Amino acid sequence: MEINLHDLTNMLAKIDRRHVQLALLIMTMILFVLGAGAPGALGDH
Amino acid sequence: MILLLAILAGLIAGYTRARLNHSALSIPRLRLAWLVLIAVIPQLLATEFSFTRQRIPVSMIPPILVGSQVLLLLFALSNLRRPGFILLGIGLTLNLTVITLNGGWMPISPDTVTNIAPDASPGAWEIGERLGFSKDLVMPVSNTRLWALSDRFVFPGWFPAQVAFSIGDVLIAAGAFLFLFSLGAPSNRLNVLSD
Repeated sequence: MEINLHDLTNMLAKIDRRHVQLALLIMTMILFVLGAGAPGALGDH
Repeated sequence: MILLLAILAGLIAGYTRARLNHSALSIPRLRLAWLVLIAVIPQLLATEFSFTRQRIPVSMIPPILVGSQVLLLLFALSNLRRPGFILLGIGLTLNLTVITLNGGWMPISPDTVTNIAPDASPGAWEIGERLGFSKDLVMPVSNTRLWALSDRFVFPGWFPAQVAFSIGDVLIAAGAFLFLFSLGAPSNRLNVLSD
C-alpha cells in the first residue's frame, strides 16, 4: 500500500486547522454570550 | 450557565444537522472577532475570577460593563447578516439599554432575589447593593427604569440553576443557538469561503 506522505500531512493539517478554527469560533461565541448576557445569581459572595 | 447551555445545545443541534446532511460543520469567519476578547476580558476580571473581582472597586463596574457591551454590540452589528446575529444584537441592545438607564447595573428586584436565593443568610444581599459578584444591583421595582427589561424571570424551583434572567438574555441564548445550528446547514460552502 502506497502512502503519499505529502497528501497525508496536508490532510492532517487541514483537519487540525478546521479544529482550531472551530474552537476559536466556539470560544468567541462563549465569550460573547458571557459578556452580552447578564443573568443574576447570588453565587459565592 | 443558561447562556452556556444554549451554546452547548446549539452545537449539538448544529452537529446533528450536519451529520444528517452528510456534511461538515461550516466555520464562518466572523468580522471583528478579536473585539470580543478585548471587550470581555475586563468583565471577566470584574465578575468571574475571584482574585480580581474582589480587588476591582464597585464604582468601576458600571463603566466596565457599559463599555464592554458597547464593543460587543459593534461586533454583533458587524455580523448581522449571519444567522442568529439579529437576535443577538437585539438581546444585547435590550440589556445594554436597561443597564445604561439604571446607572450601569442590571437591576434585580428584592422579590426576585428572594426567589432565587430563599435560603440566603441575613446580610448576603441588601437593597441598593451589588448582588454577589454579578452584574446585578438589587433595586426596588419602583426605582427601576424599564423594569420589564431587567432580570425578572426565574426558572421553576426544580431547575438546578437558580438564576434570574432578562428578556435580553433569552434573545441572546436564542441567537447563539440559531447561529450554531446554522453551522450544520447543507449549503455551507459559501458560508465557509465568504468573509
